[in-house]
Amino acid sequence: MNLERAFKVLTQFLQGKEKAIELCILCLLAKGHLLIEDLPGIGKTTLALSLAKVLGLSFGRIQGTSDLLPSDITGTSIYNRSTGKFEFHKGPIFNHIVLIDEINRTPPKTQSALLEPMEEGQVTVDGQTYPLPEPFFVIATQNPIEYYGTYPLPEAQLDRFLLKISIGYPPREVEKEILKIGSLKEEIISLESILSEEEILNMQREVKNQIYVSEKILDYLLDLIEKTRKSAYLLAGLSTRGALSLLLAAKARAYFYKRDFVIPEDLKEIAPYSLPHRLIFKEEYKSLSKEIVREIIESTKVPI
Amino acid sequence: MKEIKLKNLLLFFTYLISLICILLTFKAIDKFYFSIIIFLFFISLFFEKHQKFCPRLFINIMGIVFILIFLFTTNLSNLLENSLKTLTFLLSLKLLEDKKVRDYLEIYLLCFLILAGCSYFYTNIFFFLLLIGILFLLNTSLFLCLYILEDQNFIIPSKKLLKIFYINFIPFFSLFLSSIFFIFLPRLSSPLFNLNIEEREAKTGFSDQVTIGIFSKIQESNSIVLRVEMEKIDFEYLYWRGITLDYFDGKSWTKSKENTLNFHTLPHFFNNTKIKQTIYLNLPQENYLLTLDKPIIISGNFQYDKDSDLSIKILETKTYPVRYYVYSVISDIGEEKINKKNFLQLPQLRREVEELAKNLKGKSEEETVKNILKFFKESGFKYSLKNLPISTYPLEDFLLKYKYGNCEYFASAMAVLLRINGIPARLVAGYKGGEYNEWGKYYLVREKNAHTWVEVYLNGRWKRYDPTPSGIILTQPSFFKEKIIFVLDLINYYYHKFILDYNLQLQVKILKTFKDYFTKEDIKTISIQTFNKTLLLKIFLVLFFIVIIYLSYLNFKHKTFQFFLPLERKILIKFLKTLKKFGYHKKEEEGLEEFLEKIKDPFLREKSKKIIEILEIYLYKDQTMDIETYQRLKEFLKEIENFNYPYVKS
Repeated sequence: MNLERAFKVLTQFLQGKEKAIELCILCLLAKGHLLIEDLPGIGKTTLALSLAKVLGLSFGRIQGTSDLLPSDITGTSIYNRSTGKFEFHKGPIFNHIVLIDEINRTPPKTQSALLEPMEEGQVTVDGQTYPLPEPFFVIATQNPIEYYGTYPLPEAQLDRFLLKISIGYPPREVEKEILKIGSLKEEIISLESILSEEEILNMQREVKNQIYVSEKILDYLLDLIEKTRKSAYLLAGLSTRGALSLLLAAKARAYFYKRDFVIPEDLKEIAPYSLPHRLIFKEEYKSLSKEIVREIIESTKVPI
Repeated sequence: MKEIKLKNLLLFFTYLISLICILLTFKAIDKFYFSIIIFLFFISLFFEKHQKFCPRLFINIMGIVFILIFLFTTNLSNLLENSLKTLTFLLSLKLLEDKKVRDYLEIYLLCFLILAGCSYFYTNIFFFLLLIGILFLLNTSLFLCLYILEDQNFIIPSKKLLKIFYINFIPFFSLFLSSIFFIFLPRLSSPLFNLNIEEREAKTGFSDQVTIGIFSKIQESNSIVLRVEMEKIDFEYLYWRGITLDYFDGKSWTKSKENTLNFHTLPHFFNNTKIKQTIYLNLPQENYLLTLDKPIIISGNFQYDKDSDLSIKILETKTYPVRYYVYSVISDIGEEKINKKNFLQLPQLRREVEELAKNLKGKSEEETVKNILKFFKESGFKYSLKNLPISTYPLEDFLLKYKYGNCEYFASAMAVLLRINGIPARLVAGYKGGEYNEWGKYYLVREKNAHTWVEVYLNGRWKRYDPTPSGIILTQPSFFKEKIIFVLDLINYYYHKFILDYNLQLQVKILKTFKDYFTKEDIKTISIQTFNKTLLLKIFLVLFFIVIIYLSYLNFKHKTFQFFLPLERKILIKFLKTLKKFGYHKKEEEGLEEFLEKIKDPFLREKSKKIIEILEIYLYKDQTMDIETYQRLKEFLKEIENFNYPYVKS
């Protein structure tokens, strides 16, 4: 299976990042978008780039700055003297995989310009709507430490991201290897694609339509939602859309593991990446968000 | 570690069961067939040893031929015997074959049928115990068959051999359960098929004639003739009357037709104390019933004839043991009119005997009797069972020449001497004495207690005289061995009383007792007591219904039948249980794959992974597991179970 091969190749180039790659692919399969919260220099860009290459998709990159304008993302209409008309010049968003670096540095106006493409897969400029290429996959990164001069993403915006992950430092051995070999950026750029657009779209359809979800799993999911809503640490629990996207991600995971049905572990594995950024924690517990989510998952009975 | 091949074990059990069954038929079938069957049995053992067997076709043809032969020789009177013959024969044929699992099953079926047939011949509790033993053996063997079906060469370590017998808990408990059926299942008051079985018990000690001078030695037999449930009485009154004999031809005493009169001549017994006896007669006594001394009232489940000489004869053929109730009188009863001539009959005798008799004549009849008794005591007569004189004139030789013999000689001689002197006398054959079982409150009378005595007609009454020297009086048992025999006999006695004799009447009685208990109407506490009992019953019923309704609600809710779990759940529970033995406990909050992560041991993990992967499909795809998958998973589980985990203490 090509997906497997793609995964293999990716793990070769991005050693020690298997988890991140897996989640990345899941996100793509579930037609979601990914938010990576991590320090610079961990390999976010490399991850996004190699993903695009291996999957045979076009790649666009937007560097988030405080003066970034919406039109810098979507593109803009420019007057063509020879034709005497305004012509639309597509921005970097018109790519399959779009990496938005340091998204929290962009001002809210620009951030909100991302809402439409991420949710609806289209861009409207000057009253004209342009469809985005499919598959469309946004990978946004944000810097956790540098609060200075940042505009934290609003809840509505965060909700657009299916998963929020962090890559983390590679293990010592792996890091040693990286140091020995040096950066592999050039090799990555020259990677051959393993999958095609068509295949990816097919896979996305299969994930959506052909993965069976038993009543038991639904009940389990409902149990989880209920717990988040009743939790004393939270102001607001999981929304219905949140639950839907969690389920979709779980389906993607089932597909990734070559199953045509969802098992509780799918939900369990995905939840820590799917829930924390969607839940609204009480101020004093904000820093404990991951632990609280884990506690909720660990305390829910698994149906068998 | 020593290992045992299950097939060998199964063979051993099968041969053991078959041998027991064959030996049991010894009593039922004729000795010629029996020896052939035994012979075939040993041949089959020989075959088994050399692993060479009769061809199946040959066996089958033989079987059919013999069935046909037996069919043609069978009639209603020998039905049971012939069926047993056929079954045993088929069994021995079957053993000659190379045995597959279905053959084992056929063998067990034959054994079972043979046992059922044999139960007609054995009324002993030991047969019952043997039956239970065989039941357990059969059960174990059937269990072993399951293994053999899987793998012909199944091997188990000898250490685990005992575990095979655990399976016997099932019949053990079902025995208890079936005892309830035993009590309440409606019974027939008579056997469904009244097969005419010829009793094959050896007849010793008692017959309808007393003959002297034929046997030189009389075997003392310990077999039990009767058990009599009654109070203990003085030993000297313990004369068990069988048959009264009045005609002597010089050698044998027989019963003449003339004396078979009606019973009405027996007078005045109403004032006498009557002793109640419940008698279990084990061995047939030429259809004569044994009673204590003078029987007055008899009742039993049969037709009988009472003779004027107090002997009682059953008119129909009965299967033994027979139970009957008797009221007897042991003291003298009122006057009785007889035809004296009938009791004075004599054969041609030698002159010496007549002279001897005349010499003993006293002034009165009583004195004559005393003289005769004195004569036996003082003239050197000895009691003996051995070296009895065989002669054509046994009585004369006994009186004049040898002067030793058994009770028959003494009694005959006394009767003859009395008759010569014109005093009517008759012989009574029966039993004397008996061992009293204090625990069971009954007398035990054995074959060796057989005795003959004389009744003399004096002053219008029959009086008992026993001329035999008291050589045969049995002492009360004092030896340890005797006591054990007593206890064993007691068990056997209760087995007869409560199990074999358990009939419709008794059943009705027990049910009535139950019913009475629940509807007992004690006038003083009528309201509270009866109310409580019926109320309790009602509450119990209501609770029962609530539980049933709740359970069905649960079933409805979960769409699974709680009592019979679906296969995937069954195997899941088993799987988790098995892994728990290895120290891996799945928490409720853990998924199966998470659980798998915890398993460290590579072998366990690999096997568990296989199971979990299959299980998940059925658990989370809402599919119903088919039996094949279930079996396959079970095999995986078995592999896990047999795995010796190095860190777990066994």
